[in-house]
Amino acid sequence: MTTLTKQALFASRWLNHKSSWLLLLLCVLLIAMVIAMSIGAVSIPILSLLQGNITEQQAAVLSSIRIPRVCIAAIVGAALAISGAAMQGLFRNPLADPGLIGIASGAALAVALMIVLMGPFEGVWNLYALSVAAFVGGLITCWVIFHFAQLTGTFSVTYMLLAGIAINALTNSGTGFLMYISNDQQLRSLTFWTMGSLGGALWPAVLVACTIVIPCTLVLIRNARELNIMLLGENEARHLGVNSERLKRTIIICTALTVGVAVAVSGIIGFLGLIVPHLVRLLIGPDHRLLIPASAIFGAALLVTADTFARTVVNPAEMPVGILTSLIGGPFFLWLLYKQYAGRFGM
Amino acid sequence: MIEARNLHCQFEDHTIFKNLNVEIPAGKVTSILGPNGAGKSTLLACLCGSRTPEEGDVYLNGTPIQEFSLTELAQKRAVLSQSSVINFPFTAKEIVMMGRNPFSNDHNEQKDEEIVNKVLHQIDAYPLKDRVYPTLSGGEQQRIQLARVFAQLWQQPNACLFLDEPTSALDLKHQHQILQLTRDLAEEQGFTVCIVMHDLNLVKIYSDQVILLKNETESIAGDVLDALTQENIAHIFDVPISLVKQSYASN
Repeated sequence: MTTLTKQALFASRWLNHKSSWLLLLLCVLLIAMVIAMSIGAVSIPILSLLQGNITEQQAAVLSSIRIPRVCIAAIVGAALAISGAAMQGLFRNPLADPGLIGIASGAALAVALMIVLMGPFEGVWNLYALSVAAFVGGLITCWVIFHFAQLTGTFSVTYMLLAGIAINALTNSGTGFLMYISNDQQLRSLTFWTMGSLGGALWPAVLVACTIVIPCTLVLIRNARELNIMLLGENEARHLGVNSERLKRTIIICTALTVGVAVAVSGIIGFLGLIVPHLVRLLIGPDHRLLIPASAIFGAALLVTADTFARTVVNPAEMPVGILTSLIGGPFFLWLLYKQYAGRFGM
Repeated sequence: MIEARNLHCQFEDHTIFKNLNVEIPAGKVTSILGPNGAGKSTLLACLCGSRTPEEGDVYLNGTPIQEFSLTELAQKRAVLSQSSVINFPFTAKEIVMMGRNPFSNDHNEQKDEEIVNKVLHQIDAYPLKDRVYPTLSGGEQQRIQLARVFAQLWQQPNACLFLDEPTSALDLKHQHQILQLTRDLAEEQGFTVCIVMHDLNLVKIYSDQVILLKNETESIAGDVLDALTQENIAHIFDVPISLVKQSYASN
């Protein structure tokens, strides 16, 4: 066999293996989205949905409420999952999560500042403005925590988590103070929003989130190989030709952007960034070239499902989805801690 | 070949060494020895380009080391640091494969895969290839890291190999196997090899040259036979000893 055909064979085998997992997850996501579209106050049977055989009222519900909501759930889920995966790579520990170490609450504080002190902007720009504020807040907290984690010279998970606790306390007190001084209308939107909900999802939110999350995902995938090598340690990565400073900057900015937009459109939805990459790693291993796209798809599917539960389980009222994810995420985190203690799963 | 002139390094107020001149020739194994805190790892970091000395210059094959890009440097020299923790379930083979990163622009994954397999066979770690790295024992992890470093420089001309205590976790058999392999790389492929080691016997058997660091101003360099004498060792390490073993270089 010539080298060329051997190479092609090798490449196709690798691709097959890789794409089959992604395809499978994509199917799961599509199924979750279709089911989510059919369930709700106005029930739309899946069969008629797929056949396009729906009434005008159903069509209106779909196009102006349900589809944007499912889309935003998918995008926010993907955003949180990839930012979790990227954070864990950057901090070289599977316990990092944008919510846990305070990046999300930093972003939330910035958004709260925006809502209370600046007042609303017009239309789509309001969301972009909130996203930018959230991005800046996320960036600052991310930078602070990163430097604390590196205080001891080598990377310390203890310092990362402890700094996260301090940052969470600080930003929560900030947000609390802002709630205290806000008027009734501001208070309502703040409270609802800090619990993490996809209730306000409309097409503009989908647009804003897409234009930020999709480019960030692509950038992260481009850097995935180098992120793998960073897991050897920063010095080792430099010895292998990885520009670690540039890579760290890229990761921090992408994470702050994706977390920022997720927080801006949906408030704090916790633990998704922790759970999803971990489960994906159990399925297909830790290689970021696969982990990041697979986490994006799986995170989307998971949040679409969780949101469907959240808006139907206490029907006709609606539960903020953040409560649900934290309910599952909290015990999951404790289980991870236990596993890490027990030294299994190579952690 | 690595040359360092007038090196001066300090951590805040504490001087580690000053006016240090070092020459590490190609095709030979040079060991760096000295008591704890004498600056062995710092010297190694300066020589391999990962630390910029406060003063002085380091030359790699005659060119100042800072003139190489990270990728160029990664194609010419590899570094094994002391143990590093990996918290993610990569397989041993995936770790070794990372050593081929500097050549990833060639897009020849099959060649990389062949190299990785050869290296794994060479260091007697092929059976470990599908094991999950964090579940390996300390010595096995060290051998996989060595395999990664060897894979990085696979058949590169004029390559430089830096090893910081490469045998600290290895059993007797693998200590000798790894050091013999390193010697072969120097002799057969003309690698410049620089090792930080504590075991004087191993140093004597496998190195051609030694650099003995005592403190910020005192150091002794030279051929193993000339420099690794009873008096020098007693002086550098502050312990009375007597030498009994024959050297590799004398055979």
